[in-house]
Amino acid sequence: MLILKNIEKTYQTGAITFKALNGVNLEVESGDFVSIIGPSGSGKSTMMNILGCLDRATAGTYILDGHDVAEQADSQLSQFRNKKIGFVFQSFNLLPKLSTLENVELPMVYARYDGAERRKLALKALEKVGLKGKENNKPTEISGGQKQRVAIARALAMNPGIILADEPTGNLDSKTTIEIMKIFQDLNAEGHTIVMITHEAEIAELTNRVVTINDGQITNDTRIRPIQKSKREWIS
Amino acid sequence: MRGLESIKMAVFTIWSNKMRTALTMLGIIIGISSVIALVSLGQGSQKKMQDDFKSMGVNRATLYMNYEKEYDETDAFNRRDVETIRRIYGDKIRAISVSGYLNTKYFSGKKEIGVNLSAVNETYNNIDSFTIVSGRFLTKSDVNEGKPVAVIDVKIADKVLKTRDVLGKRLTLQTDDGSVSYVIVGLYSKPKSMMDIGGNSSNYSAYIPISNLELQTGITNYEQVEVSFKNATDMNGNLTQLTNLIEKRHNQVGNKLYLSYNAEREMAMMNKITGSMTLLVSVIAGISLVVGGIGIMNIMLVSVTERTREIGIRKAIGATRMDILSQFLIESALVSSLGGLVGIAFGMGLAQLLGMMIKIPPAVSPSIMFIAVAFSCSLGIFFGIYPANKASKLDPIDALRYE
Repeated sequence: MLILKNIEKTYQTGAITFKALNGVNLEVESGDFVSIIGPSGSGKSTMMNILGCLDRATAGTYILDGHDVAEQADSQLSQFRNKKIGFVFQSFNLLPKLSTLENVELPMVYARYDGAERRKLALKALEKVGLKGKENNKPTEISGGQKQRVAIARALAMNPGIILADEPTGNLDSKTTIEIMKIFQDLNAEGHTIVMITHEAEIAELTNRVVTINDGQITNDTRIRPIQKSKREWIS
Repeated sequence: MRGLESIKMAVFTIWSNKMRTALTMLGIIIGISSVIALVSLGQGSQKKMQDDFKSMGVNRATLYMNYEKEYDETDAFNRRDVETIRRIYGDKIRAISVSGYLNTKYFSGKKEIGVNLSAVNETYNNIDSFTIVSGRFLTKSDVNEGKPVAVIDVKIADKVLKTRDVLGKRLTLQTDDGSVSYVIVGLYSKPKSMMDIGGNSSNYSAYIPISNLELQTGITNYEQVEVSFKNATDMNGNLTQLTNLIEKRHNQVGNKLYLSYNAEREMAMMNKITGSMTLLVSVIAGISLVVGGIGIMNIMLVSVTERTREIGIRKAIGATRMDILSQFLIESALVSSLGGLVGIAFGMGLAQLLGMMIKIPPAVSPSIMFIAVAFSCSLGIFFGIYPANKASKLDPIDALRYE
């Protein structure tokens, strides 16, 4: 469902050219739980941005769910981010002035769902991440772990095929980290494809497959567990 | 995003930045309120003037001598001119009278009070608008016989003679040549008009028969003829016919010795003056609105920078460029429309206040309010385009990284 072929990404800053990705080849099957591990500056965030259709590759081909991303218009990429991909960020990226419920509803606002439908789905997503009863709290009124749960609920709201998580436990203590990882594992068990960036090996151990990236190239790709048989059909 | 959703979102943002929104709106509020106040005062005074003209009579006109030309005394209007006009154009004219003036003084003890005598014929009460409070106006026999009778302003009775029980009493007035004495036959009252700029307003007035003035002074020719037509259609055409007739009677054809004016012409001139004043004021207010609009643009640019991260988040979860663009455009349009509405309210209050001070009731037309709102809304859109476009073009990755 995700295919990267010879992906290159070059940044030009003045006279200096920097190659963040230098020929990345990766295939992620539906229902997999992949962790991408690598040191700072290895290119893992760049790869995540390309996978998440936030950025375009300088060269190479990225096929998302059968679509060649390079050929899509910006508005189409917005649609992909809205419907096919759910983002979870290290720094949560919730809108501080909106309640948790409104934060979770936001992707559905852009998908033009009506108010009642949004509310119903958002409440369901919040319940799924164990935040029932916190729907009217502002992000400033809840803990870091709870914020990340809200972010996960938001990523789940549109029921996307893929969840992209960029160091989702980076700002959390070890106990909360375990809780959040458990949620990801459950979501994977339900059939969500998850790609997660981390720089902690022990976190990576909790996924099905560990891809190591160094200097813009994949240097190792190890499967730890088989892809779980999913009860869930691919929804796009 | 659907329109309603965007508006809700904009209202939320505006509400959560109340102070800033209020300050941003200030420029628009000041601009719109001054436009509303001045335009409604302008329209109010225009309306008052029109009402005054109406009460003076839209059917009314004055023929007068062209003071820029030299002419003999016998070239001026006389009573026979008036009689001829009345005979020929009787179907069009309700009333016509020459009017002569005589300035006199009334001595009340040692106090000297000016009384302006207007010498007219018995039809004059159909030309000027005044009401007979008691007694009667001049009659045909008064005029035919040159009787020494007067119809006096009720104010003379109230303020000078200190009694209204004056009918049949004598009023003795001093002229340059001696003294004249009139029997008071009637009291009239006239509504105060903005047009009463000619004539010394501290003086009092009275009407006497034109023939009596002729007997007193020997004058037979007058500078002015006042006329009231049966209806106000084609006043200019009718007046031309009248002046042509008088030109022929005085052998002055083509000399432009006789001129005329009527309320309609006066009104057109006044409208032109108030129109250009309104235009001037609107231009000044327009400048302040543009300044207000730039203020909105400035704040919207700050807001875009401040909310860079929010924009990044919204884009990451699926907002298109159009979504972001419309979000900021709606916000600035809403802020400026709101400023427009508040400005209308302030402007109406200001107009009432100023109107009370200068004694002109302001006239607020719905069309100017509609224009004000529409203008401020489009101002918001116009000055919102640049910031909104900037927001919509933000790169989501950079925006997400923005601290």
